[in-house]
Amino acid sequence: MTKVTSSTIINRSIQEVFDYMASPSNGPIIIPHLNENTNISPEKNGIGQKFDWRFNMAGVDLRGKAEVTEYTPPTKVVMSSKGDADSAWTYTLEEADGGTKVIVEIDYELAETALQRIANKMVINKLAQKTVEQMVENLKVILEN
Amino acid sequence: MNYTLLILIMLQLLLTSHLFILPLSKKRPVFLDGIEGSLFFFTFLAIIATIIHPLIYIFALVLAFFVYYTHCWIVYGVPMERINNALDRAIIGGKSTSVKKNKGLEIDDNMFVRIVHLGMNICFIQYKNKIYSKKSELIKQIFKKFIQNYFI
Repeated sequence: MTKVTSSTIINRSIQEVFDYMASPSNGPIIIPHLNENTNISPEKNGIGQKFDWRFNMAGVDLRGKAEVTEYTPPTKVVMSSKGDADSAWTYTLEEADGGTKVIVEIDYELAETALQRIANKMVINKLAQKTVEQMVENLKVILEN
Repeated sequence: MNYTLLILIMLQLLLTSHLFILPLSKKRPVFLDGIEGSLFFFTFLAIIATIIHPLIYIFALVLAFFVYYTHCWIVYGVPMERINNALDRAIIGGKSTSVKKNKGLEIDDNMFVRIVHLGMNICFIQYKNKIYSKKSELIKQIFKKFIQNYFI
């Protein structure tokens, strides 16, 4: 498994940030290359919530299924996914300077076939790091503006 | 052998594959925008100019600059109401506000968006920003994603 991480401080309450991040329907809004999360069930956010995801990288679709495996409002959410890329997305939130510190960690492993369809591992790692950095930046832009 | 024509045709084939054949093979809409859209129109008209008359190069350049500098999108394959729906969802998801203005929408009191239906499921989407804003650019990206999620 490879790990990429990024963090930022968002000038919003921890509850507001948590509510936004914990909803799988907001994933495609903040996560670059994630085109859609569908079949989200149940609608209510929480442990055991499942959904299908579709990434698109350079025109190649990667698909899989995900499940919320840890849900501790308002400090932590973990989503584990399987498919063309096996991964665990951990969102950790803590109060900081009147705002909220957000740490996003992604542990991932691309299936060999999916990897071969896109590029070599080094390129993927750089892309993943850029994705997580862009994700926290997008989150900050949306919640603060 | 006219090498200019040969290069233009090869470039046009590459762009057609990337912009048309790839999305259409997955039954997804076609997007002509940005530098790729500009290049597509330029090479298309430049091929005609090479064969018919060099004056057409001027039209090729004008159209390419128009697509690039007006930041417009040309979308094929999605009905107008679905495009409007995608924009509404992008605005809500991005926690933005919008007001109707001059046959379009003004988002966050900054970015004006106008969608024009050209017929045959082809839409022309035009943007105008008062000032550059990361939020507006993000809303555009989300809007594009939501349109690309539709099947033709």
